[in-house]
Amino acid sequence: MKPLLEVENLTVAIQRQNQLLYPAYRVQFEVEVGEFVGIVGESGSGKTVTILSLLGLENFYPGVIGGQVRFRFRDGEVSILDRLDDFVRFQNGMPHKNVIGWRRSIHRISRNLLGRKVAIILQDSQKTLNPFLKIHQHLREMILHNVETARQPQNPPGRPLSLMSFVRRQQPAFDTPVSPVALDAVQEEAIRLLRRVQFREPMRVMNAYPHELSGGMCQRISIALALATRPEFLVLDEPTTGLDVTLQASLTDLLFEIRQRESMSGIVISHDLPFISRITDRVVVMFSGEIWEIGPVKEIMHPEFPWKHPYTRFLLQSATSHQGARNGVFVPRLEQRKRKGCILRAECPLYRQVKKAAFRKKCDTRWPEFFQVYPRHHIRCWAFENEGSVK
Amino acid sequence: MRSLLKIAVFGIQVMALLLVITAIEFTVFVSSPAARQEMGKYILKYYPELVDGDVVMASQEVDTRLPLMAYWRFYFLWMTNILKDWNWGYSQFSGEPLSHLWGYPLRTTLLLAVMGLLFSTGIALFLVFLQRNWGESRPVRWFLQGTRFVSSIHYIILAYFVYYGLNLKNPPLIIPVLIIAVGNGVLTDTLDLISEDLKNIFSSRYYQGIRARGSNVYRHLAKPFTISLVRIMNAKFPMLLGGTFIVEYIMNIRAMGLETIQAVLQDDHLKLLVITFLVTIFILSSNFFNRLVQQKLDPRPVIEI
Amino acid sequence: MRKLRRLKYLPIGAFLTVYFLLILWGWLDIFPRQWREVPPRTIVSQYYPPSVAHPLGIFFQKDLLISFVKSAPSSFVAGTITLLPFLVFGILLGVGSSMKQGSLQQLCHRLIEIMNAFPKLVVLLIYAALFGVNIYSLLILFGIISAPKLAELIRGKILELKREDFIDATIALGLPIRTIVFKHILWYHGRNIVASQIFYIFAMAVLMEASLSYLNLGIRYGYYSWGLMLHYATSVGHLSFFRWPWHPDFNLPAVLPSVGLIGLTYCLMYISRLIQEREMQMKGIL
Repeated sequence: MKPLLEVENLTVAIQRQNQLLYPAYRVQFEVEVGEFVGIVGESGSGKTVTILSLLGLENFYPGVIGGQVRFRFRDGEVSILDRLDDFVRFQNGMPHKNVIGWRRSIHRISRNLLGRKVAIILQDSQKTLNPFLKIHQHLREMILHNVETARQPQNPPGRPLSLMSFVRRQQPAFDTPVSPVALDAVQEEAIRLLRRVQFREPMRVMNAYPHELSGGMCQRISIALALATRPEFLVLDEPTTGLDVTLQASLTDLLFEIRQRESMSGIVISHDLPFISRITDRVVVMFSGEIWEIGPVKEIMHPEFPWKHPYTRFLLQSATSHQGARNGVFVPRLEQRKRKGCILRAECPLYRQVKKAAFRKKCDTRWPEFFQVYPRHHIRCWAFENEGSVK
Repeated sequence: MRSLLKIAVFGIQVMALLLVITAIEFTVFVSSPAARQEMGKYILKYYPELVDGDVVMASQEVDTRLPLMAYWRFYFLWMTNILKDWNWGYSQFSGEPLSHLWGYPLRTTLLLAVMGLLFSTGIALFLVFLQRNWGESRPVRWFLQGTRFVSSIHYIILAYFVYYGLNLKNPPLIIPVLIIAVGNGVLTDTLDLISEDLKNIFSSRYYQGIRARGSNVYRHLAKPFTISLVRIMNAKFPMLLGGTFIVEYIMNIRAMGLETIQAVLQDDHLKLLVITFLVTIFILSSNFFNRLVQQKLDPRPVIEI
Repeated sequence: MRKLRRLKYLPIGAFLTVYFLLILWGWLDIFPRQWREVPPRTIVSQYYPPSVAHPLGIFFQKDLLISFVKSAPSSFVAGTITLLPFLVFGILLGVGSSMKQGSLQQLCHRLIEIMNAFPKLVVLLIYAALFGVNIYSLLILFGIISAPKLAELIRGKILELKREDFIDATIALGLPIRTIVFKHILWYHGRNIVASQIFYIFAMAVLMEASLSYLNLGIRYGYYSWGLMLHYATSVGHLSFFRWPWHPDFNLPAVLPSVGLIGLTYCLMYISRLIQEREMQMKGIL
């Protein structure tokens, strides 16, 4: 069976004073149907940028996104970054973007996708809710969305819409007259959703504005909003940060239950390693905008598993104790990409251990490649060129 | 019943504010020696009972600066006359009643200013729309640049070009309205303010949230955009009101602007005082409208830091 | 095309260079003697078309070129006089209305609101009527009553930055409040705003001086101003903009100051907007 999401060579470049920075560079992974993939890494390693740009939500001005992102849903295939190259031309090695065409193209593709088949829960939910609307207005809109999308035949995604279909699609979002019966149904659904994310008094929450609620409440409301449309694919951007411990536990249970019951797929970004190991199947380790290890969660999170990237080892050690910090600190240095060799080698314990000149020479001169160490487990490091040769 | 009471309280507040501000303005007027001289003449002519007989005899010809209490008595008498039988006094230059300012001059000036504001905002919105949807194409860029150039032209020059170029004896009001809406950098300023607000909205976190949820952008942004639009229009209103004054003078439209400049040149201080009061009333009502809109539409708590 | 793109700022640079040369010329006051010698006034014509002795002609007993050149410094002086009170009052009001809560802050905030509400031209007209026509005091008053615009921008900036963590960090470091406000907020984050407002108010002051002189309430006869030139040029009936430039009735006395005013205000507003856009780009806003 083909994977639900395929990301190939996703590269994000930001132009800053005649110099290109890469918050994400050649990111490549896939998500199978019914699978959750976690992305871990320190802050600034390009996790959020990767997610936002593969969904077309990143709109920084001089930035350029390249690569292929393909969703295979039950009723069709969508490529998000298709034809974006038409709007970029290179001059003296610097990209120049036709901002309007780029924006229009990405909006056209992503508006069939976002909030319908793909639901996203962004960081800092209190700020992502519209401060001018009440919670019940948010919920009502999402529920009516769901009803309309279920009722109407879908437009083939990725193609320009006809005028009539556009008009029909825009209808529910405006204040269309809804009969009292339907309104009741909407309200019932809203209450059900709020109960599901553990609000004991849904009516009180529904009549509040986002600024009247706490950060944790807003987080749960945005989860309810995401669930309202019954998406096939769920993206969670640090869902547990800013929540207290009991809420974190209940949220983890809730997400686990949802994923079991509705057989969703998704991506989870988090600093919280226990949360990641509970909820995901596979883990991607990122550092300085690049993937360094990708493999099943049980193998990566297991402390005794023999084949492990030195940076992953460092991350796990830092999470469990302060010991990891003593072994060396990895600092993301973006400008080092121009130099030859592996950027991690200065702090790498494996590089220091190995006495053979042949290995060291490779680390010094060539950019590391991916090597398979186990089924579906890849590591970007020269030490794993011959599987198991170095422990 | 409660809403009626609220409206009544609001009205009393507005009246009290108006009285306080007009009193301050009157004080500023009287603090000027020239105004005291001219107003003294006026008081001696129309209200001789306010001044003692000796003073009148002594100071009728050479120096008509009266004691301060006489001016204050005049002020209260004048106010009661206005409230009682709508008598705003008489022009010191021509002797005509000043209550005629409430007729055609006021109507025309208000019409010019408000229509100019609406036109300016409308044109600016259209330009923002152009910029946002076709801003990369060269003709549109040139058009926008040309608009900016036309907008940076002074009212005097623009009005002269239009007035004498079209050679109209009685121009339709749309022409001064357009001049007021465009010239003196008004259009450019409105355009920049609107596009900056839009950019701030589009780069906000909640816009990202709206897009991530696939909601209808127009519905979600209607409120914040209306708020910022009303705020911008309120901020631009005084500038446009000032603009009408000079355009009226050039195009010879017999409205408040022409009256003001004539009053300045003729030392007609009572007329100036009346005009100041009228302008104050406009500005206050515009501010109240703005505040009302903000209170009604913006649910966020007001941060008074 | 690439060459053309490089020449984008050339017209503006050229105009400003010419403007500064005109200012210098006007201040040095070096003109040939024959330009200063004008024929006696006749009732028939106020305007003599260009001749060999007077390259741009004579208008109201003055050589037109001399009037044009000597008007350039007055516009510059008008802008400069307005700038100082504008900056002082703007920064003081802006900082005062956004600092610690108290009666001073409330007072500054109300003052900004009230000053913002009145049309500037009307206030200047009434001031001129009450206290006499003096262009310097009028321009200083204009600077003061335009200050709320700068004050509001500065206030917005300070309120925006107050919530940021780095300001908390500077407070925690024990820096004095004036260092935080004037160095960390105004200089590091607000200088683009102030610079763009300086250019904008300069343009507005030039326009206001022209308006007042045009209404004969600013620079009076005997001195030089583009607004005054417009006042006299548009009062002569037989002259017209809508002739060919070589026609004897072509309104050259009005066209010259118009070109000066339009060019100057456009250049200044363009620079102001350029700085604003740079600020936007630095913030990362599209």
